[in-house]
Amino acid sequence: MKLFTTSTLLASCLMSTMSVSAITVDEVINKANHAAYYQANSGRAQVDMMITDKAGRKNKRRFTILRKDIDQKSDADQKFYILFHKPADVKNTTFMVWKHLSKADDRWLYLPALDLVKRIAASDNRTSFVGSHFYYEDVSGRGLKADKHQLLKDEKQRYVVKSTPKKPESVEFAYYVTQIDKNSFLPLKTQYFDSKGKEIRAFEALKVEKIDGYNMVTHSVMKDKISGGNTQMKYRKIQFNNSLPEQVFTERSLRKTPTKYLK
Amino acid sequence: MIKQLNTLLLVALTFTTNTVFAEASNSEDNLSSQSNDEWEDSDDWGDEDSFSSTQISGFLEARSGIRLQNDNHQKKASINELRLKTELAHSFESFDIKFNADFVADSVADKQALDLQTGHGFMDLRELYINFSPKDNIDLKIGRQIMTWGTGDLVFINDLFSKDWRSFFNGRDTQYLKAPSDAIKTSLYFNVFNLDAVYIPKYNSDRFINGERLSYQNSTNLPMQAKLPDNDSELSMRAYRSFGAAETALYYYQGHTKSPAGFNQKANKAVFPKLKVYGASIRKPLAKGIFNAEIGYRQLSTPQDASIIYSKDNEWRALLGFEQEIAKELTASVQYYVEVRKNQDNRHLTTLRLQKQMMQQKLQLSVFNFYSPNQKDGYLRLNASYKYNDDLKLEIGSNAFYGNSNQGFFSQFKDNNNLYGAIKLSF
Repeated sequence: MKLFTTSTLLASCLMSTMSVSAITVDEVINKANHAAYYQANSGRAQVDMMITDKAGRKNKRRFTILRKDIDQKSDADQKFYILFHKPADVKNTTFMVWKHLSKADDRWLYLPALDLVKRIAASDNRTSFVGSHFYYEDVSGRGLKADKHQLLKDEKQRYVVKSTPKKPESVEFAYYVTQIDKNSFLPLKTQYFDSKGKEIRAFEALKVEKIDGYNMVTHSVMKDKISGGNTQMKYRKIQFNNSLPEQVFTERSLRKTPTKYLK
Repeated sequence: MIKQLNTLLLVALTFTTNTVFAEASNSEDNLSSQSNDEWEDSDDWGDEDSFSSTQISGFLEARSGIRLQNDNHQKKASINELRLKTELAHSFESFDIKFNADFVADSVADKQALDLQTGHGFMDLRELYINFSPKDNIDLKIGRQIMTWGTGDLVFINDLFSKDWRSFFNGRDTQYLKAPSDAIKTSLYFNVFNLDAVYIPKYNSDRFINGERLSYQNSTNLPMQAKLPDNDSELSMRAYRSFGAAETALYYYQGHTKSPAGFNQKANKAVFPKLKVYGASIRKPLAKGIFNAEIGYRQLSTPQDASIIYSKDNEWRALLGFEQEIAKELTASVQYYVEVRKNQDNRHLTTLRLQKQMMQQKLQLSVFNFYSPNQKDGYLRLNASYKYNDDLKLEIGSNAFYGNSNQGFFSQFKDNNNLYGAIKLSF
């Protein structure tokens, strides 16, 4: 009996090893990265955020975001443009990011009341994006080379990948575990753990929709497991491949909203 | 032996998978059925169109402040106003228009008559312009507008658009440092560089410290009488382009000094000498921060007659700055600025800004200090603001001038130290 159990277990282990070897972890994370951040070469969406702090108080944000991939063939540098609609005190504030894989991002903020284009030092991508529980990196993507990846499990519907930072001193977590949908390759859940294995932060996709032929997470939540706050994020009015010219991502657009591409 | 190996392998495998699966709990729990009610309950914005052709927004603000010392020339209150900002924007097929005005009830103001140039009276008209693109690479903005360029942080070399120093020193929101100008702004976009040209048909001075509302040290302590240039225009130009991540610009200005810089003894009035400024700037990422450098040469015309004496020479102005996020949500910026004159003492200035955000960026603390190591004077701005919710913001702050001399750039204002508070409801 014992022998039988051991053999069965061994067999199932071997089988799972075999099926794991059918796809490498690099393929999984490359596809997941593409699905999460690089579908189509450009896109637009209106984003609503609801930020709930630990005391349960709520704040909201609404903005329209434009994205363009600079290298159309590989998942590399991208440009983002954001126009804030709400709350009222940030209305018409614009924000631009030139995301680089090989160096720090370039960021600009335009304050309409002062007509001021401010350049922002982007030394840390793991700081709150517009006061939410999402970090810059969660919105624009964390470089795949920043972590070592290990395929933990090949489930029926999901791949489970553990990622360990190459520079642990630069981040607040010890590792994170991502569950990736096998069909769409969208990361549906990401849990961040500290060195004691305690979960400190978690992302979860709440709704996936197919838009223009692309699967996309349209509603998600990021939870701060330590303080208890969370931010929900909803995407609407999504459009892919809207052939945005690169000139949209310049100082001109910061000062003068390129409405025709945003609407 | 084989069995032992098997067991070892199994233990190793189960160990890795189990630990992780214990941590990655509920891995099978598909797109969780987390209640969406929270979102729906709290006044969802729904499908409201963020790009409707007419947009209305603004705020209602009450702001009060007191002087921290007695000044026989001024009221005890430094500011006591109720302000209603209304912004109306409308997009037509081929152009946009914008109206932005502050309606102000201000009990400290000495003058209540409406004066759009100085911002006195019940209304401060901030913007009223039409904006359109006659060609793909040309933007035109015509009318009253607020303009800013250059790389300095509250230090301006090539930005000669009007400033409102009275608002700035009095504890109004920083946005009021920029006064509006009636201008035609043409922006041209080329492949190699871009060009902005701003023509202001009627010279527009700063809202400078003239003894009214804010005191300065002079022999008489009476409000300054100044003679504005007649029928003269201003021209500001900027040519700019980026080289990779480095943003560079060349500037030119032709007009008059924005604050008085001389005295007409015959007329017994302060004057604004004719001025040309030639400048350049660069701003680029450096190490983990942003570096900026700016330079300008200010050339004054020679006085028209002997009764006019200029208080300033031609001068070079130069600025070096660096900003970096030094800890989580804590940004520090330092600047060194110098004015170099041939026949007068140079003026050196350093600035330090520390800005800290906390509580989901709802609480913002800010320190900005100007200090002149050679004039031994300075100006400290402290501010704390808290967003109670998306619409309501509370703010307290202070403005403090220091230095022993009465003649220093900042120390001459030391009778104006103030403490203020504000409550602002945005819509």
